[in-house]
Amino acid sequence: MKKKFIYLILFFPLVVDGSTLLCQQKTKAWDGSRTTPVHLIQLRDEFDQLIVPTLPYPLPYSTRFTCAPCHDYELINQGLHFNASSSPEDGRPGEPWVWVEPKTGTILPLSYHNWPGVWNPEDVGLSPWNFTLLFGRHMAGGGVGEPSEEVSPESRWNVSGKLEINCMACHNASRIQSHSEWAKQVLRQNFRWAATAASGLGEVGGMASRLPDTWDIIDGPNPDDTEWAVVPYVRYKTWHFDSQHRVFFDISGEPDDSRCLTCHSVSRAGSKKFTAVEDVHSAAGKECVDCHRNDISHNMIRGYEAEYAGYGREDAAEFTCQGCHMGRNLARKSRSETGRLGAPYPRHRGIPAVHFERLSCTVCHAGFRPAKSPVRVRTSRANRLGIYGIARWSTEMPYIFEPVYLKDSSGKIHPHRLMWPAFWGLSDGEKITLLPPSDIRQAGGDILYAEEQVVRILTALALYAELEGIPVFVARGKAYEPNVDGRLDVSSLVPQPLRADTWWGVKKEGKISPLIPQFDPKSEESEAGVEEIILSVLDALEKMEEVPGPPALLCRDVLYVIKDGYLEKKPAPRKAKDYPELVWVVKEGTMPLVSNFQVRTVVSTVGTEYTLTEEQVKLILDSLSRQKKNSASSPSSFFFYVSGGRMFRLGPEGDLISLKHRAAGPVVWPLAHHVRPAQQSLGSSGCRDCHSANSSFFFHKVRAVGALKIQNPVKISGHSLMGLSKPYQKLFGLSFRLRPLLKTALFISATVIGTVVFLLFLLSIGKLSGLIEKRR
Amino acid sequence: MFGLITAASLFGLLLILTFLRFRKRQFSAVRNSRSFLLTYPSWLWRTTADLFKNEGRKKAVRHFSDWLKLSYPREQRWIFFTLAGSFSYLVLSGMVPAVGGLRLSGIFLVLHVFFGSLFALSLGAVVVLRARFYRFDEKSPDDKTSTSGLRLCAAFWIFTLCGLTQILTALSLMLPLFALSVEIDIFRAHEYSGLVALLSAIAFFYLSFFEENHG
Repeated sequence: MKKKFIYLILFFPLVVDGSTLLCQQKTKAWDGSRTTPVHLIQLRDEFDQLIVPTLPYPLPYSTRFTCAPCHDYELINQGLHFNASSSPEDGRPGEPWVWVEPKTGTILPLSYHNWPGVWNPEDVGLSPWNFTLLFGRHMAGGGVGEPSEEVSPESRWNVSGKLEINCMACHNASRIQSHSEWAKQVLRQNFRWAATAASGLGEVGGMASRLPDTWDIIDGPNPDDTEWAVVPYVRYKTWHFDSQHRVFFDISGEPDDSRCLTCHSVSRAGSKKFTAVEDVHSAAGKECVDCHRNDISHNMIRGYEAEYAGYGREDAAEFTCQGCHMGRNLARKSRSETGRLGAPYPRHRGIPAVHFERLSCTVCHAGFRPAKSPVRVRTSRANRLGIYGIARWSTEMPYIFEPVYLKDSSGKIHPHRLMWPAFWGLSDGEKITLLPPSDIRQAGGDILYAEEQVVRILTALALYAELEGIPVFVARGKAYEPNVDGRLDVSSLVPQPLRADTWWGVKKEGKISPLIPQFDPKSEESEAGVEEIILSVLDALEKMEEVPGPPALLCRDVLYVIKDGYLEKKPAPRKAKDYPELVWVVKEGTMPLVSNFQVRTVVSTVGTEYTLTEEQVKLILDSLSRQKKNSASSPSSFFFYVSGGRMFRLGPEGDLISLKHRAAGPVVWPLAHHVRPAQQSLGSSGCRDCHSANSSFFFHKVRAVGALKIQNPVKISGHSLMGLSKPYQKLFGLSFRLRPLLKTALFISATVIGTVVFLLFLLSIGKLSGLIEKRR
Repeated sequence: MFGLITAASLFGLLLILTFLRFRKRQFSAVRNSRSFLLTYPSWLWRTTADLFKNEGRKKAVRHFSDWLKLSYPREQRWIFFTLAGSFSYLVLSGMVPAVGGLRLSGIFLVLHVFFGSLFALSLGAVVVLRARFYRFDEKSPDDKTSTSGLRLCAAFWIFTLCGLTQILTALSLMLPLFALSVEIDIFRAHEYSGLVALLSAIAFFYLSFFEENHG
């Protein structure tokens, strides 16, 4: 308490001083110089106090106060990267944030913008605090990460500090800027320290997430705990500072592409880095900010056509595809009307003008070429790319596909990325209420943890059973072994030394043998060695916590249990099988280590893209419905789960039924990058690039995928996404087979008619000149 | 714009053709120019109404039948019908959306391309078979027809030239030869040559039935 008081006395006048300084900010007009000023500046902390790196327990630098004297922080905070929750304009849909929770099968697209198909974070009970914790890893700070006031019970802003705008995330020209460090500090709830750590100005230790809710920055460090609940601290690298405590910030006024790609990378899933496709503009030396420009307001130009037309941004007009390549004159007549920087003028030879009325430039030029099914891609923000460390950060889910083609509100077709949402909810008439994953984990209980149960057993065996190999679980001919992530790895079919459907084994030098070899309990010869193994295995299982009962081995009519550290043989409570079977002893008799339900779940989900089975969904919906009966909700309401383009709910008989529902539909957003050169654009090989009876452009199939393994996922065809008629497009495509014939017919006819007309012309000339005499 | 020009030119052509006919038939009966102009609308109304009467229809069919018999031998008539049919479809499918400011699309576009080829082939055949009857300087070798009128010849050759333009513009739009800006101009040429072809076709038939043969 005394210490708090001292800090308060120390900081109070400085806070007042800081607010005065803020008032002195002004937006300066550009003097005309195109150079970036040298940023040799003093660091200031969140109390606007000068940071002296050699003083004990220095605070992290605050961008709000360090950058503020020259830059209008509040104005910047209204810029594109920070204003999602405050901007009145939603703009064209962009990539949503995707809340992925594999255990509950949740793949939920979220955005503070009112875009079709996405949910507002508040709909699922995500406060700014939770949102920042979930997505701060790829946020630029500010905005929702820096709320003026938030009183949600779970928020800990006083402990973590605000996630201020991380100016250096974009503007640091130094290669020391580390996005991974930023993400690490965010996940440790070290919000106020994140920018300092990421910029490389100092080392940050400690974890705010381990501190009590009551801790505050003015409490300072806790000298009594230097191992677990260590108060976050920063040790500045003093060589960065000069004698006046100034630091040189290697500022790039126009951020380097790599800074943008930190959050905006998109790559084909499963591809190798050296095969990654590059945007033709980047390859030609242009940078992201050459088109995506902004002034101090940071209201960045996104570059789509409607941004100019729909939102009246005059400055955006010349930074669209057309603006650069054609100017504003579609049918340019003179060379003087070139676009920006004299970008190549597309001639589009032989492409009928209707294409330019109905398709955006990006349809033919951006993203991957259409294939029979769209390509799965991974994006930085959705799949947590670009965060490096010992742990594996990137995720496979959500599954995002491109390109699919859809019309925008003006009826023009654009290429899009697509993902299928998966979530739990309660439907009451037209109203849908989302259920957060925490509710599902609570309702699901053990139903959701089949894989974990196997992992726990295998881990216990690996730790305590003194095996000469890795313990594995074999089910339906596949072997499952634990990995470092606490999950199971599955290997292909193995020989079956036992007739059992499931058994426990040991993997040694690539071969899998039964954990407890087959033996005859009545035989005196083989029993000694086997009993030693049985004792070791049962001993290991006994060390597990939260198990249904003591472990035992059942073989024929004998039950082996441990009693006082020794193996004891008992008559089997039920007729057992010929092979040794590990069981738990329960009141009713015995039960297998892993239930049949858990085996089915593991076999269906491990090693696949799915995390849930229909059986699990049914059981969870059952559980939720039972809870509902105890509550006062409407009788017509029902719980559901959405995945794979379908909505699942319990039928009148309690069975699981699926139906189509608008909430289960795909979520899409336009793509514009990975621009391909003219030679690789659609149509460069002729009309039949798109117009054929089996055109990938019109007839590609998008199969719905989600966390749930289902028999009949929804499939959508390209033409239906575009709202076009399949028979007509087929017919139109087929007509292109006849085109050569038609062209030949036209050519022959034109030649014949032309010849006759030419003859007539010659005849007339001849008669006029008197070379041919008129007939009498 | 195209719609306006189309409407105006169609209206103007019909006005001119009917007025010429009216002048030819009524000039002797009407003495002063004021009453001449006042009589024209009532004459036009009467003549048009006659066309829709049973007798008028029969007369028109008879005229057409006579003209066809005179112009085309039996074995060549299908060429005329192909030309007339394909041209009619092209006019309907091409002009109607263009006049309405719409874009030809869908199944109509597929058929437009198909009938365009039929039109080209049949026009080629007609030109080869019938060009000699429409020489400006001479009487037709077939004395049974009186198709040597200057206007009729002009209509025939304008139609042929426009048809040729239609074919060439269609062909060039199908080939990757020209840039978009040129293609837009070519497309305009396709539209306007189509309009002129329609006007010349109207003039040709009008002159064939009402002026030359049965004036």
